Amino acid sequence: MIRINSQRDKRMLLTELRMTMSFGAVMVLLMLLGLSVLCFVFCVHGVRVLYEHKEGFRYARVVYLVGGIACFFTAVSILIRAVRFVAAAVSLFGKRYSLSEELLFEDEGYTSRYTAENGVTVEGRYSYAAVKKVITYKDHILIASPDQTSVFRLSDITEGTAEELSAILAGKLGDRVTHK
Amino acid sequence: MVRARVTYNDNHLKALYSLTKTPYIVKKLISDGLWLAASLIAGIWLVKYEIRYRINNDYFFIALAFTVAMLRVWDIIKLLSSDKGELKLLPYPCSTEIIFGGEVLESFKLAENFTVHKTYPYGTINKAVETMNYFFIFVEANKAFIIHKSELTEGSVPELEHFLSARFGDRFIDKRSVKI
Repeated sequence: MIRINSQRDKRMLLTELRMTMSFGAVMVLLMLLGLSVLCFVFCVHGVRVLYEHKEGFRYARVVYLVGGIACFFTAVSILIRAVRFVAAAVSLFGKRYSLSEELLFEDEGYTSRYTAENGVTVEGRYSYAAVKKVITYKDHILIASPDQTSVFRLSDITEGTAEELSAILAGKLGDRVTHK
Repeated sequence: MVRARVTYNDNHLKALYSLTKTPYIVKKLISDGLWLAASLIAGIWLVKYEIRYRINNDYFFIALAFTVAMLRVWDIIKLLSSDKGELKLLPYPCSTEIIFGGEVLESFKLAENFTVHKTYPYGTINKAVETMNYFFIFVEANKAFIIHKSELTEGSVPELEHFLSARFGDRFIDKRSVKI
């Protein structure tokens, strides 16, 4: 049996982010921001064209006006999502974050127990077949199972050894383990 | 004590969607409607422009405008005909036992390869809503237990109503007249 007492803090959050963020996710985020900027540019351009061609084509003015409003709504909705994401990240990193999680690795599976800051307690018992993926990064390990993702350092092991844990993970999970 | 055992299916998702869909639909309709109007007006204006000035080089933009319009129409039809929005069942079969009573709300998620036991102090629960056929316990703003009244395995509906109104006070919303 391997016992781990993991103390999750802000530094751990950053590491977790680094472990889970993929190149594709970053690109999608950047593309969304780019689209938002494009929409705003078209919106401003529309207003300028409307002003410059006050006496011009009636249909063109309507197109620019409706297109501008549509772009404005799209840009605002994308920006709201981006702002929410950034605000969530800022508030996450801004407030005190500390979570103690206890993990027990046995032959058939593992158990995770923790109490969140608002008093919600969670105890999950997972067989190794339920584990979706494991990512290792430097001396950190992330285990993603349905409903629960655990992160810990190898130095958090209080019973058993890192070698034993690595042997269990490699033997039971095979290609679900990714080394970053 | 009141207990319920729930195995989520499409009916639960449809019920939750019916309860929460109005703001979601309004937001989507504004953006889809504006894009549809902009692309339709652009397409019609381009066709008129081509006919009036006998120009034959804007076919690409006409096709583009009407394609965008058709895609938006398709989106609107899908949005209005959908009965569960973007809600999806969990990718693994599981049942959840929910226990009301004592100082915390308890839930046991039972799946083939794992079990998760959670306890929620009643003060942390966002709100509870009762409709004609369901109880919705929103443990977070966008996360709820959906319990059909026939899924109570211990205790009765009036018992649960009494318990929720006593525990939640203003956070218990009575919508029994709503046919969900």
